[in-house]
Amino acid sequence: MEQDTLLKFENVSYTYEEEEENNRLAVRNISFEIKKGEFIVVLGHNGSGKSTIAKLSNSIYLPTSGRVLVDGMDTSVEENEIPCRKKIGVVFQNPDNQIVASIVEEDVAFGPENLNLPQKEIRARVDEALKAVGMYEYRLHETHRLSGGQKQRVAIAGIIAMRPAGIVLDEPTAMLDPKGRADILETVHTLNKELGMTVVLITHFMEEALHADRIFVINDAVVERTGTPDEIFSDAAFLETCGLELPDTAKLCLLLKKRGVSLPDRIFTPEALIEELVRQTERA
Amino acid sequence: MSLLEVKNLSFGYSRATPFEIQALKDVSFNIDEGELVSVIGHTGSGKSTLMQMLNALLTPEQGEVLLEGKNIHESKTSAYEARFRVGLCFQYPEYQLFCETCAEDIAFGPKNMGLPPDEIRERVKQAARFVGLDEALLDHSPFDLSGGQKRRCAIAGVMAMRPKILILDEPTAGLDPAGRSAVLDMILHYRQETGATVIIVTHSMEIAAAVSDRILVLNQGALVFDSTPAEIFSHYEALVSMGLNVPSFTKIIYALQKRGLHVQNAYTAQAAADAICAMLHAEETSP
Repeated sequence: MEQDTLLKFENVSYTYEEEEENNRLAVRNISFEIKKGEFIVVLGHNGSGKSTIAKLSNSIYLPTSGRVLVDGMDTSVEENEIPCRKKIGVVFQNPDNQIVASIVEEDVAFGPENLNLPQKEIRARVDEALKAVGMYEYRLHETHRLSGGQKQRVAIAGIIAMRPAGIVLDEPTAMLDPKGRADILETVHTLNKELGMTVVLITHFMEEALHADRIFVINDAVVERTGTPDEIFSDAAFLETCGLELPDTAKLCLLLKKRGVSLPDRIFTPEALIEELVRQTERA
Repeated sequence: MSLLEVKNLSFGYSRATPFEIQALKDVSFNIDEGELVSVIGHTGSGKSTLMQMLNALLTPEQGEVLLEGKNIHESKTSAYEARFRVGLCFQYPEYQLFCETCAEDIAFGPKNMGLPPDEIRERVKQAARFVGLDEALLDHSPFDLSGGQKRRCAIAGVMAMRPKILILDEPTAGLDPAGRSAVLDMILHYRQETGATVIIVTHSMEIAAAVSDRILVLNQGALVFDSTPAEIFSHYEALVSMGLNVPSFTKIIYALQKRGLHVQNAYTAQAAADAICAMLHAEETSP
């Protein structure tokens, strides 16, 4: 395995125990590689297997067949379990299920404390993690009084304080208001760009995938397609068969084209469309 | 007289403690029969508190809620009745499924209303139709269903009470795009068939823009806007300062206006496309 690969799935299948007799697989024979520092977005319909992938990637689940390698370590080997979890942290959908302490900084310290780190080191890591998610001023606040978006950022800080190489977020914005969503997205992009952290963002919002390095489309337990946002979003019919849709800007482009406006292909971001329209009016 | 009149509602949690929170401040509005109203507001803005007052799960400290002119908080009986007449479907309602079969789960509300078995059966079937739940699934355990189906089964349980007002708290949260449009279509279909009044609480500006006759905006417990989507989404900066936003299409329109282009406001995909076409056309023909 190459040095720069953080996460590798090799022909991984997984069956939930209660589904064993029906032979129903939550993920079927999937393989992919994620490089260190990449920003990956995973899209897929409800029940497609996205969350199973999240749980396989830090040994919460172990593959029924195939191998999951975290920085070269096989998650199925017992003594790798803890090292794997230190390498990749997972943030889930519901912030209320992930907060364990009543004060923000105590919650963030929970992970490092369990690593048996010296007090000073814990303090440093907690402060750094809270600053990274923009929650430092709230360090002495009570966790249950925070908004959903703030709780979610505290949950992310708890992961960062463990200093993992990568973070997997399973629909972290599903329960949040617009501001909360925007804050989380900004946070994960900052972690990726400034701390070089590998990010795997699982989502149902196409907009959140626009600035990914690569997108994985999961459909009925398999990785149906991987590609850049350009590649994935230029095939509307494919997205629809997977229960997905175009990003809003691309939808608007389609409507404009139907009305006879000539637009270049592959406009997916609002910024690109705005620039194009400004150009067209200047030309006229 | 409006179907629902909300007058000067105020409510606080943890009164007389250091943690006191004023959840609602002097909130007043009316909702007419057959309207579809969306309620938007940041987390903690008071949306859920307000909804729980509309079906008497919470009692206001001040103010009153009149349903067809009668104060629902007047007595225990009126509060009990309000729970059937104002059907409240909580966020992630699939976590509240508990019966052995879908049919029993949907029948739970009607049963508590003391309806005869024939009537209950009829209502269960009708509600299942409204949400597009296959009749064959009615005898299955709700826990055998997919996520989207569970959500629909739970919503059917509220519809089966045939409430005058159906309130849905974040009905599309956590669903994939196909699931989101299926649930929205289902709500619109239900409304068309029954003429029922519907209130949707949502964090999606696009959904509020696409389906509502009117939008209520809550900010820190106060009702700050009560108007049409067009009017509401013309307050871009105010909405952003409240932790909200405008629909993505509207954002594009505003960005074009900022660049000095003459384009009309729009808040849905279709309207934005029309406005942009009109703009390009005007630019072409202008000297």
